[in-house]
Amino acid sequence: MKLFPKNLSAALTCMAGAMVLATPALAQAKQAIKAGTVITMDGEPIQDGVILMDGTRIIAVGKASELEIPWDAEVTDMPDMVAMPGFVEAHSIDGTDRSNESLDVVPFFDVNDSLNPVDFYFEDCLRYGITTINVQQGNDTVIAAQGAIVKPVGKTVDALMVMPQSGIKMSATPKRGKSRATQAAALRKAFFDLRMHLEDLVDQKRQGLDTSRREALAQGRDYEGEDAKGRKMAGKGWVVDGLDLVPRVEVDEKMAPLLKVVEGRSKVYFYCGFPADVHLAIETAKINGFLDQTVLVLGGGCYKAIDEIVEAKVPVVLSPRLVYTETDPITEEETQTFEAKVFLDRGVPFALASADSGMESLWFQAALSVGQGLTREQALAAVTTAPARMIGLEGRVGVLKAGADANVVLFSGDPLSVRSQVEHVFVDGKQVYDRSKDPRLKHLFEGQRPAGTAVDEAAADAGRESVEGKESKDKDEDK
Amino acid sequence: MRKLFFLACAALLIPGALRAQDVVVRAGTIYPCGGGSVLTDGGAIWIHDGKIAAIGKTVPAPPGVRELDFGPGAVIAPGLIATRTDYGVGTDSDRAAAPFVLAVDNFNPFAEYHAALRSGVTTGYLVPGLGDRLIAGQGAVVKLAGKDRNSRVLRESAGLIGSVGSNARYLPGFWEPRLPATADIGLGFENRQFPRSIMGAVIAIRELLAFAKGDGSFAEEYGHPTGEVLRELLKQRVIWRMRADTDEEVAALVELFGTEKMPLVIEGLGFAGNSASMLAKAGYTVIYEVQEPNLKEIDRDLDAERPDPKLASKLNAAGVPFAIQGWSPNALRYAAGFAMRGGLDAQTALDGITSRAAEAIGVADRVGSLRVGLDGDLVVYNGAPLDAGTSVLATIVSGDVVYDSAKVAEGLESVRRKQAVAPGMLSRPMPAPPTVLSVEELHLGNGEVLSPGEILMRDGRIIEVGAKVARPGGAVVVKGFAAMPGVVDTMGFLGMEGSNPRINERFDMTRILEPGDALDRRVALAGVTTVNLTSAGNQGMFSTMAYKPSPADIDAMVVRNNASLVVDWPGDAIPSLLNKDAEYENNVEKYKKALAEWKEKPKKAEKSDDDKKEKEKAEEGESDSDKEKKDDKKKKNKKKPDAMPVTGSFEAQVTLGGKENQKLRVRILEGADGKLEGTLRMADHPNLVPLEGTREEYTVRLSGVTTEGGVLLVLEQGFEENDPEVMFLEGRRLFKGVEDSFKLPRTSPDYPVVKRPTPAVEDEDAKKKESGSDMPTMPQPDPYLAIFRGTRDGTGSLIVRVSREDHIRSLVELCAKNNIRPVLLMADEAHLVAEDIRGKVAGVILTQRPVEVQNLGMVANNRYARLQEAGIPVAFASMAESGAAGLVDYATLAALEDWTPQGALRALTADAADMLSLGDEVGKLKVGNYADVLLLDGPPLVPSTMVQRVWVNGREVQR
Repeated sequence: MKLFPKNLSAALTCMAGAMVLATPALAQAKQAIKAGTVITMDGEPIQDGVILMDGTRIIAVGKASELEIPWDAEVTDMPDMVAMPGFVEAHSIDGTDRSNESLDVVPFFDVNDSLNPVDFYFEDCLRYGITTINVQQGNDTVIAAQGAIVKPVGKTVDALMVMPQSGIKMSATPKRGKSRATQAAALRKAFFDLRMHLEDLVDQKRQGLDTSRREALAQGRDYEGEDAKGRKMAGKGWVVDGLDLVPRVEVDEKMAPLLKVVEGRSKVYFYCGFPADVHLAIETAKINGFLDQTVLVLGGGCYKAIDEIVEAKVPVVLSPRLVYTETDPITEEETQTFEAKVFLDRGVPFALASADSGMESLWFQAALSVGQGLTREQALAAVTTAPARMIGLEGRVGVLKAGADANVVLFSGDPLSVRSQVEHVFVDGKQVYDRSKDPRLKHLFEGQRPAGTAVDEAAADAGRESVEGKESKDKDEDK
Repeated sequence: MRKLFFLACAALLIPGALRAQDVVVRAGTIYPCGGGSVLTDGGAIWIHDGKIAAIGKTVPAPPGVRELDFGPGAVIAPGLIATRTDYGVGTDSDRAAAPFVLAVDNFNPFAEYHAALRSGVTTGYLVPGLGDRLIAGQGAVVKLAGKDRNSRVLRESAGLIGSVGSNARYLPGFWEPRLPATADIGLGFENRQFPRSIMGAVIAIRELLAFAKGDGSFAEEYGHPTGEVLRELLKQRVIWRMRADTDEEVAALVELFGTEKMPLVIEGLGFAGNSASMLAKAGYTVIYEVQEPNLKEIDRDLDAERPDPKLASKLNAAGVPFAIQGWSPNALRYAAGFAMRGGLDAQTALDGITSRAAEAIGVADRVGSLRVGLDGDLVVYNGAPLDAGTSVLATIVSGDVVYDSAKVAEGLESVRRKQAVAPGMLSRPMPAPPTVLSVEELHLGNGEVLSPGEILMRDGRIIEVGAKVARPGGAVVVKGFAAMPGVVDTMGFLGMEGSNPRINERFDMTRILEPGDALDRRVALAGVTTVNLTSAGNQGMFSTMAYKPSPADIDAMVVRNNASLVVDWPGDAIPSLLNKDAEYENNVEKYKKALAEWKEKPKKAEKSDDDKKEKEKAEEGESDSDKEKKDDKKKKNKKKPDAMPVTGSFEAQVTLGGKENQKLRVRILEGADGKLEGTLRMADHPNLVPLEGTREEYTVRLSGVTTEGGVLLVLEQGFEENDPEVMFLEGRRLFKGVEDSFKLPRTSPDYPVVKRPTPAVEDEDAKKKESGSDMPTMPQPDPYLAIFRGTRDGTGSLIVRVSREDHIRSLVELCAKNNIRPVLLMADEAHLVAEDIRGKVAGVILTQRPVEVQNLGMVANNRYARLQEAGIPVAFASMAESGAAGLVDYATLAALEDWTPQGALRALTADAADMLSLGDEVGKLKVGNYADVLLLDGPPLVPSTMVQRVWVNGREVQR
């Protein structure tokens, strides 16, 4: 069977290449996207709008009639489409080679070392309009590695990076093989160890046991440099007096990331798989003074702990299962709770999370939420501005306005409609996705093999034969 | 100064603003426990704001307060305290001593503790992990119901909990990876952990105390932050709760804690039978744990030491303050009852799981007894709390009803009702709730009367009969004056709706049943719960069906289809039945004989025997060593595994009809009785052949029918010599007149149940001919003969219409000869020959008034009474449709003259059922029988008494 005429395969190679490769950087980087509707997430949607981008930033958004497009801008005119800021995934464990560490407490690990830029996950993100992802380690942990905020474009980890070390993952849900009590003890012990370490350092300095200084001098290192300057400890929950005596470089690098947390310089994504876990998460954050930087990543049913969450004033990433179902033990009647509504009613900022990287991605979750009773604005905010604020990129992603990252998604229609599709995606001002050229969709819908995978048919046939021949031989041997 | 956050810290949140509603709970008896005196003549408890505001005969509650009155039979006692729970348990710490593990972290305020609340447990002590560590951590005490987390935590830390028991003494080594790993020691190695012995445990505790006092040399061994946390806890003089099971362990603890002067509670004590006086001297509180009855453990070693069952009594006698705990929170009441062995009084036992338990875990100021100012946690029982059979009516925590057996029953009932009417659902209703009838006179039907008496009905059957029966959770208790079994109408036409069709043996009578028929229900409400149904139009020989007029589904309506065979005497029915019976017996004999002969028949087997002999002869010429080998082989053969079920797939390439390499596959499914079914796929036939057959020991015979004639497989089960796990079948196939031999290894032990083979051909003979199998088949009696024969083994009855004295005699004579006990119907003269027929008939049913008036009205003679006196059972038959509803009144009238109500009751119930061979199903209040019960407002079968309520199959018949 001849699937691929020979003259076509060369053409395919070029087309598919266009999708993956970003458009070559132009010397002159001004671009304008004209769209039938521009949903800015910063005020009312604009009909016949224009998004002006200069390099990687948006410089202006407005009505086509009111905004002058510079003469040197490249214009993408899509009068039938709807432009949106790219969706923001507030918490994801995908895109890494494995999501969980086997050790309990590893804040000194970095998810950078685990990111896989060619993971299909990132490709899916573009296909469904997600342009910012906060990749954190898995939930089966006590204190996990530092996460990173990435964009789903690029072939190296550096190219993906939006913000490295964007926060630390902790878990109040017992790691496999632990009870809640031992999980809690392990969490407490991590902070206790940090404190012991800092106090020991200070004690050493106070007693003149300044061995590291002598060592550095002997080795000829720059001990008096900028990094080596001590700084007073600025924890909110607790401080160790005299930490300024100790140069920061002397803090054990295994402890340093946790010190960042205690001093309020790093976000914490605290996983609570069950409502009973919320108490421990909030207590730990409060005692160690990082409640302000904490985002709770919730499992199903955690709306039951709403009182504590409201009291703690922490934002939450909701369970991907939007509706929580409980069964009455006697009547076996099912009660369904749409959790987002509970959090909305109590004024808790929340973000939606994708249930998978494909069909149940953020757009689907937002659309489903509208079906369950959120307004369009609330649902869209829960996948754009709310998660952006949560991960500390408010005004930069999840919104179309001057100064924001030039991440624009063009939908074929209403972004919350099942009939709409992501047609074009711009990240940092570059078009990185065009549905009409998506090689995998072509393979799926038109039977065209992606470039680079088409093989010489004659060779393929030969190969098949040889395989069959071998099989029949094997059979003979069996006899 | 290092602050420690391993110590449980005070609640972080403001206690919930939700306030419980005021409530007054009333019951007949109140056990306040904790030294309070018992209120026996009705009492009330006023709970205000979650706390007990007043308790007494009357309470000064303001008017309009919600009242819960459980009636004079109910008993109130404090909510039970489980001094050890398994809630939220995961694992223990890896460390031998982990005082920094807080059990309160395990508390899940969002979990539902339904089972505990149903058992009356309202407060529980949480253990960090399993508690199997020298120091497992700090315990916590929580309430098992309530509004918000913080108000439910009674003690964030209830002190240290640990164990010197054997479970805590063999820990795996402790290992923590070194990061980064160094070249010289890699990731480090395991450190062995203390303790291995009791002595080791004592040393370890001493070392830990030294660590706590600042001796840093133990930091490596016990790890951080053990020392720091322990120091803080010692400063607070927290209580140590240590587990010790044997006398030695107890002695070690008493000695150690005595010298260190530390507060101690000892838990466990199962085997510490001799420690009572030592404990009394030391003054330590004890939590005595009752062990789960573990049959397997007893099985393992009958002589092993068992826990001392009288320990609680010994502790009490010695004056040791003690609490009682079970192996599980739900076993508290059993544990308390168990502790009473050896003479402990019930009040102390109850205190052991309430007030004393609260003291032992340090929450006596909040819960454990019913006193003004304490939490309004109480349990309402339907009897004395520790009595067997008592169950919890309601559990109340802080004034809120958190378990209500009535509500649960109501909920289940509503589900049942919904399911009953839901369209498209099966009409089979869910079982009725367990029901207890408690009456002053319980008439069992067979003449016995229990006074007072109770029966427990559940799942349609009678579960228990006695003066007092169990009241399982959710049981409905119905009180009344008298109860008797439902009445059995030995012959009636109910449900025939006025038509008198003739019904022959090919008609399935269950097809005329109409569940929920109004007329049926009226009859049932009049007390007739079983009708032996036939059609009034039937003549000659016919059968009946025993059914129940009331249940809502057909399966429950049928007591027994083809229950009795009705015939006339004199007539040729009985002789012809007897002839048929004899013929049948003869056939069976023939069959047995044929089967026995047929087994020896296979000619091949003889041949192979000859072959063997020849081979053996040949072997004799061989060298000795060879022979030895052969002998070895033979021995191995002798060890051939026992015959096994041959279910599975057997497949091989074999020679069929002279052609080599033909595929043959047999799939066999073996039933429990050695019957086989399966399929055969063979290369020389296009279709899949369904097979049937049998296995006897190793021999497997399978036969099937194909379009090309029958196929027969005779196979011998065998096992591979080098691998007895591998089964094979070896034998031959007979097909199209050709015989092939082969060996089929089993390729899979599974039978793929996709579609069962279609049942074999109807005509046995034809099948036999076609299949080529001459295997004899078991003869089957026709339906009427089956009933007739059933009279001998109690699965059927023979009712004979006979009236005249001489006819009765001749009938009975004939039947006795043939070992049949008939029921005489319309036998108005039976009483005249009572002496002759006693023991030879199953019973007598009269259809006219039993009382005959003689001597110009001067003498009333009750024929039923005469028969009963002579030891012949009698019964009533309505011979009517809805007229059956009058059966009880008819019997009452019959009993009025020259008879007794007791006699009539027997005739209506037990005797009627027995003569129809239904005595193990209906007619008696007997364990295992259908729960068909009538509740009466007076003694049975007196004119003034009415049938009040009726249960059929344990479900009340609704008016």
